[in-house]
Amino acid sequence: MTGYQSMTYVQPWSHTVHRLLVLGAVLLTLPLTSIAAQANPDSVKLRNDCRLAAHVIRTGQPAPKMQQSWDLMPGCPEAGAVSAMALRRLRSDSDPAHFSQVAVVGFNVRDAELFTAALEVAGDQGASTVARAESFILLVNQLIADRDVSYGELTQADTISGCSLGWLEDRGAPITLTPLPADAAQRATAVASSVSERPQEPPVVRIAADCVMQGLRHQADRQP
Amino acid sequence: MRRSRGVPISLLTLGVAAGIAACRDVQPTASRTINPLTLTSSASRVPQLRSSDRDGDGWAVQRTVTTTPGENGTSMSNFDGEEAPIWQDIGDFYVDYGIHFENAMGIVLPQSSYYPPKSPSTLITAIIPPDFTGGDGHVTITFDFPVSVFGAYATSAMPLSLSCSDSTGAIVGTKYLRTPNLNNGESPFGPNQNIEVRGEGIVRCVFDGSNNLYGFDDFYFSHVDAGVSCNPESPERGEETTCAAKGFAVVNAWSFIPDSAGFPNVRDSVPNNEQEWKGYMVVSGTVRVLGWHKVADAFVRPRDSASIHVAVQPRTDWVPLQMPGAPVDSGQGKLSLLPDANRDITFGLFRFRGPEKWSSATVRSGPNSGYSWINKEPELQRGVVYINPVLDGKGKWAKEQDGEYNGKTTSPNGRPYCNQENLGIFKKEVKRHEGLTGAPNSHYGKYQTELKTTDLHKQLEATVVHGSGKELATKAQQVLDRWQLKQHPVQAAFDTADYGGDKISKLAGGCDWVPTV
Repeated sequence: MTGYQSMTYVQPWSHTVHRLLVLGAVLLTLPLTSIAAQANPDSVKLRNDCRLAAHVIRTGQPAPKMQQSWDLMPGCPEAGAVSAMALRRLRSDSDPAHFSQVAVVGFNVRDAELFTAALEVAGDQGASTVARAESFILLVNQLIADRDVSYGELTQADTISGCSLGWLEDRGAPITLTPLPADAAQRATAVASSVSERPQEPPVVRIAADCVMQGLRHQADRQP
Repeated sequence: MRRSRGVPISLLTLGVAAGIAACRDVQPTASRTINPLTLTSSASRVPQLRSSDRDGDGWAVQRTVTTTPGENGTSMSNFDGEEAPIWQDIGDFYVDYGIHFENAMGIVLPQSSYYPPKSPSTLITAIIPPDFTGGDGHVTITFDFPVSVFGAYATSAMPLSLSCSDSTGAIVGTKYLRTPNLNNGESPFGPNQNIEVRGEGIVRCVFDGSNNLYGFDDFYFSHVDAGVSCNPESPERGEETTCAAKGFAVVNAWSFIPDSAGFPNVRDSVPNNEQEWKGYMVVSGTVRVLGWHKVADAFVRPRDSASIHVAVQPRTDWVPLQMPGAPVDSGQGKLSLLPDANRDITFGLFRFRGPEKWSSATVRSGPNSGYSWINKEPELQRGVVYINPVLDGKGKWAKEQDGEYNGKTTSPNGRPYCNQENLGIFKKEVKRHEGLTGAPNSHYGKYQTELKTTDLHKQLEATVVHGSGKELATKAQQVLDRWQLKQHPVQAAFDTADYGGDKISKLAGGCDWVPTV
């Protein structure tokens, strides 16, 4: 079962929908394991759907089901692992469009495995420039609630001005599948600062790394 | 005061007398032609300087020079009691004071002589070539810096003039001692008559007398006080300022102490006596010049310094920032078709974007060397809006908006459940809410209003770092971040006002969303 499937509305949407506008880092406080303990026919169906979707994404078959599988993935417990696998598989890919599905999951789901994969690809000098930049963006989405940037914007920036990280209004609350490591911010900063300071790194990758540092500085500024 | 060889001395400088050798140890025979007034005297002879007046030839080491405040930022230096090299060319003996002599030498004469020193116990100096030949009766004094007054106390057997000129060679003024005033009881004025020229920009003075028949003592001049000026003194940020030292013979260093404690000082140890320090100014602070003063008291170590405050003004042509138009519609972006952790669907998303780039420059010279500033007002990018395709009926959640839930068409609130038509109605409101229509009652509109009414542009205008353009960009981004943090309550208040309570139901056409899983 998933958190998504277990959600039971105690009030109509009209009473609760305004909450979608409340910004900030709102974490899912209900552990997924307890959610999973609740069984109903819908949750069984969704669990099966998720397994199938994960299989489609892992194997690429059947291809026509790929988009539908990704659409479902943010609501699945497999989302982190499947996206991490997909990101690693895209390590050498240079088409930004191929990263959009992983990016949707990374924006809506927090997951330690996905975070680790992003950190790994971001720091891998053997990975493609696009894969590394997209991984840094994914790290931003994992670590920082209301900041975002697109790959296209990174290509317009320069290394002196650095990243122009935007601010989000109306972002919903990401679903936490597996909590990020306690030292996630430090680990991301270590990789990002190392990449950012290496002149031999591709400019887009350096700028993407700067996004992470900038976002984390912003987070630190918000601490009371 | 140290006394040389126990002889009372006075400072007296005498013009070189051509053919003076012929007069050595003899009384002049041509006095009638060179000193008519003397001819009327009972002595009937013109006294000349003689080598026998010489009293040693060592260089003096003690200097007693007094400086007193003068007019308009000047001081008067009096060389009373100065010990000059005796019986030697004075030349650059006073170079530490920025003064150079030509055709002048020091000698010692007693108070009872025809040429008594004005100040007792001072050295008398005169120029007399060793062989008492040569010379043309001129003593030239040049200054390393302009003076406004030069004078001395002269005793002469013949008419004497003092003429001073500026750096272009133009004569500033000329004064005369028309009547001989030897110390022989015959002069109606007596010895040591004051002769003085005043004027602006004097760099050269010439005594014009006859051969070796005059001397002067206790010369003095008025000099510019040690100081520094900057032009402009209140530059706009990024405007070039030139700071100039005044009254320093040698400039050793320039320094800048910023007003803000968070910035480091700038120091420029100038190896070539640079009298000017110029560069773009971006932060206010104090400019200080350190060096050897051109005149007596300050030229003596420790070195002197002068300071001036330069107040950088904000640029007045910076105006409140604005996004250049309604946001860009960027489609679904990263929006999920499924509810989030709060069981809410994110229907739309607005992203406020700062400038794509920061235009910066780094100061390369002068007081603000090493500082970087934003040299052009930044331009915000258009915002970005993402609209969730669920509003077009895409995805599981959207498909379940069919006006029915568990066989019921009315929610516990008494409103009908929403259907596909309501999604379309609400989509327009979402577009308006996020700002795609450019409406004032949108996230975009609220940002525009805040940008107009807050001082973000002023904060960015004043953003400066001592470091690179990249460090500046980082700081500018922080300024923007901190401003943006203050926007959260504004934007949240707008959300509550626009979507709070049952307003969102009304915006969707008066329905409640069908609960889904």
